[in-house]
Amino acid sequence: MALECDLLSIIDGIPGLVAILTPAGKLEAVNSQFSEFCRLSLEALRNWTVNGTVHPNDIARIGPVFAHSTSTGAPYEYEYQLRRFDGVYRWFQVRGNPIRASGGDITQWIVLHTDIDERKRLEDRRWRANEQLALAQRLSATGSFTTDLIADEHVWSDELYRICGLEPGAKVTLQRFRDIVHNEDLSTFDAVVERSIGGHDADFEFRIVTPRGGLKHLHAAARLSDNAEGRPIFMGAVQDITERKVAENALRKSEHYARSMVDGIPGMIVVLSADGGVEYANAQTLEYFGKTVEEMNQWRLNDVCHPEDLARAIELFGRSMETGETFDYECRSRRHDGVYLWHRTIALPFRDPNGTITRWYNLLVDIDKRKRAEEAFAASEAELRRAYNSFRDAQRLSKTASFITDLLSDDHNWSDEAFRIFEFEPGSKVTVERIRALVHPDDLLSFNDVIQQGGRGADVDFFFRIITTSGALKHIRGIAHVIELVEGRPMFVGALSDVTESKLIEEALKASEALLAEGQRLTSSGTLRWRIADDDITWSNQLYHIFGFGPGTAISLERIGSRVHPDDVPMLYDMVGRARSGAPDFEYEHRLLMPDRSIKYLHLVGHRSEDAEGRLEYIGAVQDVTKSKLADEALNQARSELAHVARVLTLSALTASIAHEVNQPLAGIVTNSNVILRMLAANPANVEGASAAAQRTLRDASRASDVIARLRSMFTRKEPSIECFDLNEAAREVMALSLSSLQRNGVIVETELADNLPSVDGDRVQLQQVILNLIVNASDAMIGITDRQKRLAVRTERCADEDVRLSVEDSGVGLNPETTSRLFEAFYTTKTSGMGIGLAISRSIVESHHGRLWAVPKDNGPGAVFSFSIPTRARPSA
Amino acid sequence: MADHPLVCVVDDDESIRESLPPLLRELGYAAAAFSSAEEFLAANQIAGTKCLILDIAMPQMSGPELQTELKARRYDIPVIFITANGGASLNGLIEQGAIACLLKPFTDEALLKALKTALS
Repeated sequence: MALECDLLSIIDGIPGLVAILTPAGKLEAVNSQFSEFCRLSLEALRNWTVNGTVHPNDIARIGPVFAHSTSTGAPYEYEYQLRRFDGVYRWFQVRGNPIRASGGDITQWIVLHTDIDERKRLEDRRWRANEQLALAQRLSATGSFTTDLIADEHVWSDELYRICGLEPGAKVTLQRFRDIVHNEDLSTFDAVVERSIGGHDADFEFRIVTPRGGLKHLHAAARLSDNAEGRPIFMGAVQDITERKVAENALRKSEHYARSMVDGIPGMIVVLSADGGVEYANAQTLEYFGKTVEEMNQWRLNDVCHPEDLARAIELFGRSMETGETFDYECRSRRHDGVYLWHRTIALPFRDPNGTITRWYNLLVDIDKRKRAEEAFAASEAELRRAYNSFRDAQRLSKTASFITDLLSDDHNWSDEAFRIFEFEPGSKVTVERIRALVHPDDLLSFNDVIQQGGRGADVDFFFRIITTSGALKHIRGIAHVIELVEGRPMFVGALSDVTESKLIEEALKASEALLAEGQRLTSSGTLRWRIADDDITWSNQLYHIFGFGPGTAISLERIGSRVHPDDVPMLYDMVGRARSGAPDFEYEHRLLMPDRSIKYLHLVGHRSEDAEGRLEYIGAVQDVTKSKLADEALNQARSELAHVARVLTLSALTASIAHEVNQPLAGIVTNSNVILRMLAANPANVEGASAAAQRTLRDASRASDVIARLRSMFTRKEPSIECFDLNEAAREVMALSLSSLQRNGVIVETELADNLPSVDGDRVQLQQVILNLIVNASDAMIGITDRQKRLAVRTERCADEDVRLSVEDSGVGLNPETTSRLFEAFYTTKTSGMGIGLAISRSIVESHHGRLWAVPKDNGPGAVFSFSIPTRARPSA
Repeated sequence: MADHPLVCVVDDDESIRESLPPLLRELGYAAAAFSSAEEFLAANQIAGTKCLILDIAMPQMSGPELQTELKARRYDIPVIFITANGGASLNGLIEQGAIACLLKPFTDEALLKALKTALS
């Protein structure tokens, strides 16, 4: 059959390197591709392990594999580098299968080499090759030439002379060369030359008979390099393929032999007719597809090729049929069980002597694993890049370290920050063991868990402490994300950060929270948060305890009011009103009336704030000051007694002083009066002497009144202590002193102190005495008021004429129009106790500051307003 | 002028210095006034003085200090203290040998009674 005789050419046509070995592993023959690749004699190839044909690095590895198979007869497979004729090593995948005789004995090994150099390069990411370079390399082969056919000028390489058996450097002409061409090949040679003169590339085989009579098979290829003015210049290579041809001829000896070789090739071979129909498929192919040759013939219509790849395959094959170029396409092929695997199909055209394509030889190589690795690689590379970018950003922002870790090989790629955190020498070798050595003993278990979890390929999120070599305790927080670079081998990209600082803060916070609770318990103080908008009130446990409510019960203003002492309820409403109007801060003291009728004194400080949503709220602290209040009461009692004593002492001192100063002139008056009486009673009356005595009496009387005047001026004649001060500040101090006394008297205090009040010059203490006096008077004026709130307001404001004014307003008994004019006289008082000199002294103090003091009735409702104004610094004093 | 014994007044207050000597003369005494203890000690009248009317509180040497000084100089002159300060402790001065302590303003009867005691 025609098919049988083609089998030999099939082996030669296989687009892969095929070697045939004896059962013992000795090289018997190679196909034309193999010998073309190496361009070595069979003898030289037999020594390939020692002459550098096999890459020295690979010998040690493949030797045992090879030896094993020849001794056991098991098929083998390995990858190694084979040196091409030009000295370049290329990677091949090698599959060796034994061919057995009918008795089962091995007759030959047939070894298929598949070029996987590109794949290797891809894997190594060292892709450098390109078609042009490959061509140039091929053209720079030993036997090379440059030919100008028109001028009949030829430049040969030394090797070409050697191949042709001519003297190197001898003059070469077309005729000289034609002389050594084998007679039977002369017509082919002439035809090629004819075509080449027409500017066509050439690629042909022919035989020569060297001058010494040797027959050689040559393969020549010529490429048009220049065709200026119809003068084609060719560059080409000539290869001695004699040995290959001899081997080919040997192979052709047996049809059966060839067929078994084709079937023994560990790869799928398909021969297509020129129009693409399947003429032949080897046993492996039919087995793989599970189809007959007839079914394979329908490859364009059935499911042999994956539907998604089919259209492109048909298109590319169609193009190859037109151009005669190698068909090289990767597509998925359907295995008999329905699974599609990736195959690379390489098809080379076979031409008859006329150059017409008669067949296509196809080799299908399983690249499924490679393809999947590539996809995974591409995917993981993209993922890696994404991950790397985001980690790099994160690292920069958060001072976090990153790492890439291969747990199985214990290989760790750390960022500088990671070395810094662990206090390892930057770039030093990192191992899990080395890290483990730093892990805090209490965290070892969880650390080991994380490593185990990672070993199983799971993402991990970890936290542990380390103790560095410098003795620092650090809290390490990290996450690692699996990126599967290679199947079944988890690689991690992760981030680490030193969270020691935040950990310490966290602990400090926990401690301070505990401290706060303890502090609240110890100081009998509670805290509260009160959101104004919806009256949402949150209390601390201690506050429940103070109010005697069950912990966690809902708190409302009504509920609070039910505990507040009835007399203090107006104060509560005042506080609520003030908070609702947005007062910045407030401070209150009020009482609770507990169910057992006991009284608790509470001190409340509220501070305006905003919650997370910007809603107005108050943060408050409430202290149970009952104990200190009771102590205060006692203290206040003692203080007021002391004040009384002090006042009596002051008064008596004043009395003695007044008495001394007044008694002197009184003594004079009395004595003079006695003199007058005696002189007038004498006989005769001494009128002249009496008159002089009367004169002295008058003088003494005026002296007495001068004493009173001098006494009053003594208040102002003290060394003035003039300083520049803030009246608001001075007023606040006085308020602070008197607040508890006022609140004890049930007085609600309001302060409205103007912003940006100019400073005043004066005696701060004296003016504070005035303010205190006005406040005490106002408070006293409200004693016994029961039909209305006791309100006291202290205001400061700026007047038009560069003065500042301070007013104290009360809701007390008010002013009697008839007595208002006498208010400021000394010793005038409406009170049952007191001397009534306060306002007089106050007025003298204010007037010494070039100011004035006055009183008016309250605008709305009962009460009075006492005000004083004094010039500011800005106004020049009169 | 043996029947007009000399009574000297020492007081920093002018009203007393001007009003008391005319009264003493009306009562039958010779009188002289001094504005301070130092002035009295400098005058050449200590020996002739039968009675001293002394203000207690004076700017420099006080009344009781003058009394002590006179005792040290071996003058035994009866002393009548006068004072405008009602708060002062007067009992101690009597124990120190004063005839009387008169609070200003005082009556002529009180003065006369003290003078008679001093000169008896």
